Amino acid sequence: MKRVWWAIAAVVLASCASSGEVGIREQMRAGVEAAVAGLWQEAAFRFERAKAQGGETPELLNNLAVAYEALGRYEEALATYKRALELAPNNLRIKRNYARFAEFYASYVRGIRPKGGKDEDR
Amino acid sequence: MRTGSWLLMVLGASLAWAGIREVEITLPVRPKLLLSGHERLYLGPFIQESREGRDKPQKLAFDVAAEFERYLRRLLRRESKLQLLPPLEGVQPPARDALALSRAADFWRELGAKSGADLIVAGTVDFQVQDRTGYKTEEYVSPIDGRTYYRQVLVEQTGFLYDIVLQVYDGRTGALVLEQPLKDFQERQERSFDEFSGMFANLYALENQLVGIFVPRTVKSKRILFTD
Repeated sequence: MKRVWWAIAAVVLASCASSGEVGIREQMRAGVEAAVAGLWQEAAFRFERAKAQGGETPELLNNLAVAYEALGRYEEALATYKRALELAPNNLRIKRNYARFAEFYASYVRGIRPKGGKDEDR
Repeated sequence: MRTGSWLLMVLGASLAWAGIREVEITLPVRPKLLLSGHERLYLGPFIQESREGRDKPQKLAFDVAAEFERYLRRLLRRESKLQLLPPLEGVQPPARDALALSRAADFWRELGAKSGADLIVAGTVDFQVQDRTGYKTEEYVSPIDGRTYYRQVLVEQTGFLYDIVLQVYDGRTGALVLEQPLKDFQERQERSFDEFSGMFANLYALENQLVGIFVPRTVKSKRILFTD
């Protein structure tokens, strides 16, 4: 009898694990489809859910970083790209995305504010 | 064996490509000057300066500095919400070159007070029309014997060089806030091409850079997404 219970528990655990994996993949694909359609809010939501389900892979993090970029959440994009590259330092595609982002981000944060240009001083 | 390894390589490559999608995102580009967008701007004075060893600016049928000022005013009116102040009568530039202009803080402060400008946009402009017509060596394959020969061909060209140093001064302190060199060269396949058209070809090429100093823009950029 004990053996039967162990077998049932093993089957239930296996099916849970498998459905989780499928869930992550589905979220990832739905996220990509949303991104291709230009629905970046939805894409970010899907990628975040996949990540929350335990799918912190470099590919998923790359996608999430791109979605953050598209949404103007640059600090989060930077951190997410860095994490993705920590996990896959030799992935050329992630590296290429990151390089393009870094180039943009460097020029974005740079800017000249007129000296002594505070409104209250005027 | 060789065919097998080729097939494996092609299969591997196609699998690697199958798991990605390329998407385009729109990114904002901040202007060089971080402005609220509603500042009062005074344009001018612009000076026609000669560079590259010439004593005097090239004689042209029009006033390059005035044309540039007019163009910039029209461009900023179209592309920004900045308040462009009307030009004041009798404003004489304190110097004839960019370096000396940048040192004349008192002049800019005074001009700022007179006009009520938050920022003053001035600088130097150099526009050159170059006759680049001349003989050039060209490869020529003879239809008779099929051999390659070299021949001299007269190529008629006019070059237009625009060299601008745009300076932005704080209207309150007279301090130089930004100095931006802008340079463009255009070539036309015609001798004595109209210099006025040439100048505007230069200016249209510089338009994006000029606007980018004052107004935020957007750029499209490609990214790769993984599907698996």
